[in-house]
Amino acid sequence: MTTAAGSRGFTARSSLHHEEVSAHVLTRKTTYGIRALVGMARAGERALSVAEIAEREGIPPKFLAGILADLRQRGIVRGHRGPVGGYELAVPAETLSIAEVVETLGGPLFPFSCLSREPNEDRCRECPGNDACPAQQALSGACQAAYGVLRGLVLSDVARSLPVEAPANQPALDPRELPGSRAGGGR
Amino acid sequence: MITMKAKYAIKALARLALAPPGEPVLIADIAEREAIPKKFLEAILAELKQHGVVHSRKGRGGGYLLSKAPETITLAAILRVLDGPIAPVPCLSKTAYRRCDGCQDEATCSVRLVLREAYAASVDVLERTTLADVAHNADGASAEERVSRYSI
Repeated sequence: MTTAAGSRGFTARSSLHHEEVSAHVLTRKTTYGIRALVGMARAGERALSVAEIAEREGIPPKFLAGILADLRQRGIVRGHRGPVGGYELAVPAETLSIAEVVETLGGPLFPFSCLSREPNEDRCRECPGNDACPAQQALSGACQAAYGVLRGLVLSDVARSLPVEAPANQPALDPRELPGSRAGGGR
Repeated sequence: MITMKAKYAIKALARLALAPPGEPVLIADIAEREAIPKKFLEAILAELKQHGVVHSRKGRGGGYLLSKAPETITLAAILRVLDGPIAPVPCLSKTAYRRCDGCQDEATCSVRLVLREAYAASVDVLERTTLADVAHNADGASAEERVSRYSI
């Protein structure tokens, strides 16, 4: 794992515009969806109301209702009406990968469309074909590495790794230890 | 995450890496071979020059050259120079850390936890891949691909 010395020779520059671009690898919808699902995984058997999730996670309630409807349609959550109604997971948290959530809620924003899993009509104008594009080749490895992680990470890993409250002096767990060492069992 | 500018830059730098050492390459040549708008390419190379990635030689036989060996220029470095921080969210940035807007608590943020791991995997690739790797791959693909591309 050698980092070439060259990287230190350049000055990192940030413009506001580009920072905004880089800040949106996952859509807002997807990040809200992950938060809501983690909340449900931690609530266990108890159904959570839209209002409850929205308040705890800081998600606009109307937006959240739409996200939950999408998740429900895909069979990831189920809803119950009535006074003790609300939403709960319809699948075990141990089998729901983050990649599946990401795909359900609109997919990751890959740096270029040709790097997405389903190649599409939206190619670069000058595209010489994926095999011949040095930029595509160079970056697809990085994208695949990231996506592989999302495929290997399940909801229960995430839910169990987060502290229940927000302890001021407890360091966050190293997420690299998640999938292997924490998979399976437990509720 | 990655702009068109960075994508063109990678293509152009791969061209420079493939040129014989010490031999400048004309902007017009790169623009034509990689189908990059010439004006845009000029601006990109000027920016890369400003950051010491390339330098130029004027006059007859002039053009652009890499400032250092392609083995020492990583993709991560190129992306940081042109696009700024490469972390997916600012709270994961090594070079430009800041709290995300509206963050309630970093320690309990599930999205940060998820992205932290995915980012670690992708940045690792970007830090390990150098321009020499990119140029090498491009060279391998170029022979037949380019023929078919221009004969259409």
